[in-house]
Amino acid sequence: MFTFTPEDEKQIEKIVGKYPVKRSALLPLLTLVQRRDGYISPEAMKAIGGKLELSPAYVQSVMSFYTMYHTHPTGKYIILFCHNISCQLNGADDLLAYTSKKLGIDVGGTTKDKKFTLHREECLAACSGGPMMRVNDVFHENLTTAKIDKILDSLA
Amino acid sequence: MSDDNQVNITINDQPVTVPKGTLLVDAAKEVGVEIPVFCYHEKLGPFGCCRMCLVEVEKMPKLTTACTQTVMPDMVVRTESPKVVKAQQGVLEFTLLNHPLDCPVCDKGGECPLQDNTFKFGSGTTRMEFDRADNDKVTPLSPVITIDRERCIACQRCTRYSDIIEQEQALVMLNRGFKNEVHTFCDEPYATRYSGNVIDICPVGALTNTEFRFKARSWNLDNAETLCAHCGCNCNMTLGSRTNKLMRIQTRPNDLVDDGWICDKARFGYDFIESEDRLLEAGTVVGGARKKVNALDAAVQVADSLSKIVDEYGPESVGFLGSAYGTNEELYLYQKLFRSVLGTNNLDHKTYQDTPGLPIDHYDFLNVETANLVLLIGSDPAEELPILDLRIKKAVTRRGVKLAILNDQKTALDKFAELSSTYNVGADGAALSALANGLAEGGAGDESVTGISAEQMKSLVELIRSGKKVCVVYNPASLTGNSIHMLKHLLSVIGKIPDIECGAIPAAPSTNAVGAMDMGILPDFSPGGTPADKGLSAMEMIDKAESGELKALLMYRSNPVVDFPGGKRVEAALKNLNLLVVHDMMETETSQLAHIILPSNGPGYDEGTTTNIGGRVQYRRRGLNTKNLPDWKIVSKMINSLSEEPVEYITSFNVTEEISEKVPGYGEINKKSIRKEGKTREPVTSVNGSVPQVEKVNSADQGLKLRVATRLFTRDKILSTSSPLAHHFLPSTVNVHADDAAKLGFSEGDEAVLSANGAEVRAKVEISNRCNPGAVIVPMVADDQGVQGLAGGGSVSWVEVKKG
Amino acid sequence: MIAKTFDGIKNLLIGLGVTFRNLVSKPVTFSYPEDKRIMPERYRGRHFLNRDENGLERCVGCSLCSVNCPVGCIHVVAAENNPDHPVSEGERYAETYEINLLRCIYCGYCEEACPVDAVVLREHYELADYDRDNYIATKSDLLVYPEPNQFKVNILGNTTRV
Repeated sequence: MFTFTPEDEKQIEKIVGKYPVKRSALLPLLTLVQRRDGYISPEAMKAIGGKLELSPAYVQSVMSFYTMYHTHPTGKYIILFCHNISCQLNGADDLLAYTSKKLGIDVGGTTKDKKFTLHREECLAACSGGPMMRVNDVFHENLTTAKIDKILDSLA
Repeated sequence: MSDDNQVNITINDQPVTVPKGTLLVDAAKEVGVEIPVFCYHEKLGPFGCCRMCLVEVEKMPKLTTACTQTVMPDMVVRTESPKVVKAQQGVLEFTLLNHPLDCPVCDKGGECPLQDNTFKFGSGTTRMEFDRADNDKVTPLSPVITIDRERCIACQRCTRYSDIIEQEQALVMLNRGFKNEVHTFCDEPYATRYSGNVIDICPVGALTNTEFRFKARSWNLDNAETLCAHCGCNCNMTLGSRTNKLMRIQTRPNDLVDDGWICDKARFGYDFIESEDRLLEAGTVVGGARKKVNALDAAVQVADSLSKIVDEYGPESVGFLGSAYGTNEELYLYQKLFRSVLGTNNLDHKTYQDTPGLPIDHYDFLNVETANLVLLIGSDPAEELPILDLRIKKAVTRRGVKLAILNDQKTALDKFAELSSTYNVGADGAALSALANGLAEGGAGDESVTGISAEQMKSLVELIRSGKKVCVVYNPASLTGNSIHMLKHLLSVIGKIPDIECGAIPAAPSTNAVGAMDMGILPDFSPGGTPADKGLSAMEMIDKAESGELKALLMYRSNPVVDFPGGKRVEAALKNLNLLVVHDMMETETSQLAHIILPSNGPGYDEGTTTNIGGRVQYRRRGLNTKNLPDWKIVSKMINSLSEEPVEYITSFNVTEEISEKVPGYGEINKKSIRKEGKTREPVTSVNGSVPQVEKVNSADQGLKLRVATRLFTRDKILSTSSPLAHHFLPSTVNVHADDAAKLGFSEGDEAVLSANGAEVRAKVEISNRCNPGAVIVPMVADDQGVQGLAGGGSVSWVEVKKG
Repeated sequence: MIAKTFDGIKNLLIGLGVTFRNLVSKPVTFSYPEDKRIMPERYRGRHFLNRDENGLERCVGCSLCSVNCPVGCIHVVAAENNPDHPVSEGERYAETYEINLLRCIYCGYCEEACPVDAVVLREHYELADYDRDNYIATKSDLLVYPEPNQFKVNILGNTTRV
């Protein structure tokens, strides 16, 4: 069952207060929930819709446009692997396959210990440092297999 | 032209003058130039996503979409230039990129805008020779709508309809982008009250009618331009049939009535016309068994038996219980039979009190949009008059009309309301009187009686006073006791407020409630609202039948055993009669008790005029053929067999002619004048009674007050269990206020037993603040729920609510 | 006189020459009921409904034949295919397909209109019978697709009606 904590409520009030129309607070609220739970469940969509006088379908529709909102439970660390041109030319595909093998999950999957979720992502605007990946809010650029090992081991 | 609001433009070298703000695509229609569209729909407004309507405008660097471009002075538009033709062909090539070419199988084939536009504007070849997308084919979107996602061209008409028109946002585009698809939230069924309209507006065969799928091609259908016979809106619809079998029902836009939409009950709720429970033969009951007889012989027998009873016991001993579901012609003839031929005033068609005519203007649907304030009194349009509900939503969301609600229950429209006040169940008289007093001289009534705080009453008064044009929509059927007179008093008070234009819509839920009153199916009024000597009202007739004073009753399309308050008592009373004649289209609990049965054709087979709640008289055409006699022929046979001057009617319009001669207000109603969009009848005279005393609700010591709420989708004779709308049926529930629930120790989902008058109804407890404390709301969900058995028939009913 | 006689015999022989020549040539007529005429491939005789290579009916019940028929002699009632036991390729099939052969003018518009090459007019020309009822060709009559130019004595083409 999804509920907002009193702290969330305070946050929501603050966020909604920023906009002339309630509906505009949709993305910040989705972000708020994702930060808290790691993903956005259908119940959460209903709850957010209830706060903003939007139908759950509308919330889902907006959410489905953004690939960085997750609809299924995620691990503690969400790894977003850029696969656009600069990164790809620098070997992103191989590194992604390496990461996927190392973690023992498919792209889009979550490890059994609920630690890592691996996703392929469109350009994350760090082309100068490709290949790159994003782990939660941190960008890791100029990746090599050794560097990936180091990063993942430091998190594990 | 000097008019500031007119703009001159040139389209394909033809000059045209249109009002400011007109879209190019509409302006082009004025001069007969067709600009192809997919995503644009005149009721949904501009959108510009399909790019089909690209046109060339001089001095614009690029082509522009005609559906989003408003006219500008001296614009020069070309719709057939080589550049435009090339663009149109290109757009169609892209639109058809993933569209399967299964036109021979597709239900839309033959009436498909994509097909037509491709034929007219397409290039005939494509450069997109690669595999088409392989999407889900047949997917149920709801039990009545099937979506074929391969055929979808993502015009978003349906999603915008759901957002703008029905205000539900139930259909949305998921995964916007290359893989966008129409979905509901988590693939729940798309089950709104108006979902079926998306089938009509879909420009391809993506959204199809599950019932109609693959049954017939559009050109094979015989389309009858008829009316819906479910609620008082009388929406225009097309009944498509093939080999005399109902195939499908579609909208037939009439902006004066339905604005181009129909509800799902209209679209999918006509299975009853081919039901097995139909009464198709006249019969007499001899020794408990029904014997088939000729309908005309049965009519003569009914007439003879009635006149015999009149001779023996006097005219007061016979009565007529009509229904607001008959056409004006049928009801007028029955009125003639009973009033003029048999000489009785015992006629009625309802269990509540009502009088014909209004002290202020009779408004129609258009006035809902042009008003400044809509005041809803006791009405729940979403459940009672769905298309009025859409009209109010349109007025509020797109016309800036304010909505004020005065009701004893919370309704779906509350979220659109500027102000919503809930009075106590049964305190409608007091609340209306408080409002009338407030408007006349200030004051707010007694909150302990009305349940509305002084503050709220004051803001309501202010709101009405500040509304320049007020449209009052009231439901007489929801008012208790003699509150209708208080309401009429309130209307005249509003009418007297200086600088206010006002009118009212008597929004009774039944099909022809206004027509039935105009035709004089009332104990105290002859046709056209002319006062008559008071006869017995429906409930009085039941009382007299019980005491044995009433000897004979003729029921026309009425089922009091289920629909009247009292239940078992009504049944016992009817059994007490010497003669019970039931003239109905379906086998009902009442027809089981009848001595003589006459078959009625009913919607689909009958023809005649009906008057909607806005006073518009329209013609209901026959959709299917039947060998049975029309109802008016059976009634006129009864009249002629008793009358010394028989009148032979050849068609139903002969009766309409007589109505226009004899019934005040219907003078201009004739075959020609109502042919297309119908015609508003002249307002009938209103007889203002004295302002009644507010009835005191005796606070009986037992239990809670009962309010029976109307539901649109009820499991009754019309919508049976096998109906495609069965997914809308609800289990028996009782809405209890949180305060009362705490007192009674109920929690959500508990089983409750409601008892009163020796009747018991089981229901699931739903704790909601739908009504004020001290009352429960029970939606009528099925005939066999028996909720009317709880009602006493007085002004307010009390029920005892216990744990079950 | 003799010259005249010879002239006569000569002319007689010239005349008889044609006779004798035709006496030994192959006749253009044939004894009809016993021998059947081989019709050209595109002859428009009686209708048949094709099946596809999988044995499914080709007809999808689109009714284009019936709407194109200038005399309105085709009646189609479509129904939805059961995906487990499809009658035809696609979502729909013709539940009823009837042609009134008496009303038909054998114009072949139905064949031309058919988007799936289901209905065809074949070389079967023997269409006489004593009973009008037999002229309503139903699906069972139409779905039998015989080899070219093979006839049976039965009038409704090559089918036996039950």
